[in-house]
Amino acid sequence: MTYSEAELLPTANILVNYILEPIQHQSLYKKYAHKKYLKVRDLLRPFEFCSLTFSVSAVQRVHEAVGIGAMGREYDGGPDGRLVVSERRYSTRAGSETRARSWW
Amino acid sequence: MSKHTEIDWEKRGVLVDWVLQVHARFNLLQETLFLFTNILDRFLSSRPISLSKFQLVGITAFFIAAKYEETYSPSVAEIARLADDMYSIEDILKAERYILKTLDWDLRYPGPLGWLRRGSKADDCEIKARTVGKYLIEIGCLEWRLVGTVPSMLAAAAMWLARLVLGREVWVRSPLKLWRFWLKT
Repeated sequence: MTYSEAELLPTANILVNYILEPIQHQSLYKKYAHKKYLKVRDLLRPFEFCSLTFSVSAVQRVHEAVGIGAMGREYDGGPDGRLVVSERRYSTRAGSETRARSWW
Repeated sequence: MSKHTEIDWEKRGVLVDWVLQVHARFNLLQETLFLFTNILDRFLSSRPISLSKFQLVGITAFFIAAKYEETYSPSVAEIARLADDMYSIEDILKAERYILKTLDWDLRYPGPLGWLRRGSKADDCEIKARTVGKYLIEIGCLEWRLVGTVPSMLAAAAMWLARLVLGREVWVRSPLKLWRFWLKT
């Protein structure tokens, strides 16, 4: 047995929400800005660091995947206005696989 | 957490974030951080603690985790210095005994990192996905909503999300062989 995607969604949902919320923990935030960690933070928090073009695309991908607008943060019916990762993924981008590789 | 009167999730977040900073300065293994979170949470869920002792619990749990995981762990004196000498060495050693007794000396913890490694191996150890995954499971240490999540689930979700962000959500090779264990244990 493995975890199915549907089983992972609640957890993934919390992770995505954490990233989209205002910064709560400075040390974590600073740590992953370092080159040693491939500046992963900026990849996941694009709107404050506009220097990285690919990161915007990356977050758009997550947004597409979780079913929200790119900038707009349309909340998708969560109880307290949180985002809800839905299973409406894959449909929006059929031809984006090749583009994805060249970002890095 | 409901039985605590003086501390709340926000204070826990501040403490873990501070330890994370210390952890990064000492260049310690990531396992230490996860074990620390586990020790802290297990201790806090069995004993109510006053705010004045909260940081002591934090550094002591960190001290225990470092001793368990690291080859060269920081000494008690270094740990005491970290907290601006607010607590004496005796305080820390006493707290250490108390925490260990409360946890019944059980420090086994199958942290999310092992699961992430396993997932990453199925992914040909691709470094970007793994680093994103590490970032995501570290969020699991800090975010209170993820405290109750099973480590294997957290790691699986992190790996899945990391590949999604990088636009590689379709597995090239079937990961099933390696991921088969994810629910068995």
